[in-house]
Amino acid sequence: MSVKDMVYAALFAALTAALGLLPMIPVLPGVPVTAQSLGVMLSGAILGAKRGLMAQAVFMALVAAGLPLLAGGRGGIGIFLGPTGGFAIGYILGAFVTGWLVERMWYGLNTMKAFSACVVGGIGMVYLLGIPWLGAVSKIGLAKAATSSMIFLPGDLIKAVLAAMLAVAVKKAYPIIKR
Amino acid sequence: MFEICLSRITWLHRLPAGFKLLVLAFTGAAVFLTNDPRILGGFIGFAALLPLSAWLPLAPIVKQITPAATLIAALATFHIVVGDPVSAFLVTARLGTVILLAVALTLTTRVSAMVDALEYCFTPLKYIGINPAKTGLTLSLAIRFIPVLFTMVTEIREAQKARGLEGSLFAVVMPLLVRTLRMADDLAEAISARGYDGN
Repeated sequence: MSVKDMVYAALFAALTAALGLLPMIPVLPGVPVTAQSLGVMLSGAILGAKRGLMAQAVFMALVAAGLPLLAGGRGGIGIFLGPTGGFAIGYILGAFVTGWLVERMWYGLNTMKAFSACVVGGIGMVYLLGIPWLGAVSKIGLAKAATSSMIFLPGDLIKAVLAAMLAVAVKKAYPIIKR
Repeated sequence: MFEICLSRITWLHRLPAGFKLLVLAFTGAAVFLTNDPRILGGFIGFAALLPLSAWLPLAPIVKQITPAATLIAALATFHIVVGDPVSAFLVTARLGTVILLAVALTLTTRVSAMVDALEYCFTPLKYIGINPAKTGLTLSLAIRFIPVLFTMVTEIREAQKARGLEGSLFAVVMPLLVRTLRMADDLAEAISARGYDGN
């Protein structure tokens, strides 16, 4: 771990917390959506696999330590033990996979490629851990857990588009992964 | 500094953070290993009495458990509708116990004490090349910079509002990202300039 790794991880953990302050346009009525999960995709797509993973691990460690950083002022170790704990762990894996894919496509990265990385990492991996966890802990079964999680999909897809555009713009303005 | 922990000291505050984490870990494992409704009834009773015994205020507890409680209520309803009230009780008691105990821990433990306890839990990670002292510094840096980033978000939103861009998330996040990255480079230089090489 170099000093750069530590500083980028710390600041993108803080950035993920700050994104929780930004409200998004409600896609479906009654589903609270903030820009927070944008932090997962941005950590991976801008910092790369290793630093992205570190940033989200730091963010989740601070949530576990009791800072009210999740949207709506929630936090504490209970987040990881409840039915939605898999999504929280999925953030860490999601940032890593997004970063790994963006690193593979770094030369010639465009919005479409960045979008596919954000969808596979920031949505796919998060749901891959979150849905079976929800199904197992609450004993409602995989299919029911999957269908009830789909209400977040439209908002997440919009965030993936936004994260892809931001990642490509930042690559031009301030490239981090490979200079 | 903002945190969920209550400032009024109770007997739960005086217990060491590591001990509270251990109790939570053991209870969390125990409730998933048993299928006996009587044992689980005992656990949920214990979890409900613990915050009461310390006279923790109700409002912050309700605020922290509301999203989980809504979800648990929906799950219990689902199990009752498919005709399995025992499963409804098991799910409610299990998740209720874990969440009540976790909220009691969070409300009575300072973030600094939790960070120390977590750092201690992470010590074995040194065998896969993760330095616990560096982990501690990274966590402290993040805690220090959360209020800075919060202020930055407010400033940028006001600036973009003045330009008529308050509806655009891109116009807020893009400057936020560039300013964060520049700040990271300055910070890394400042740390290195003070002779920290982290080994």
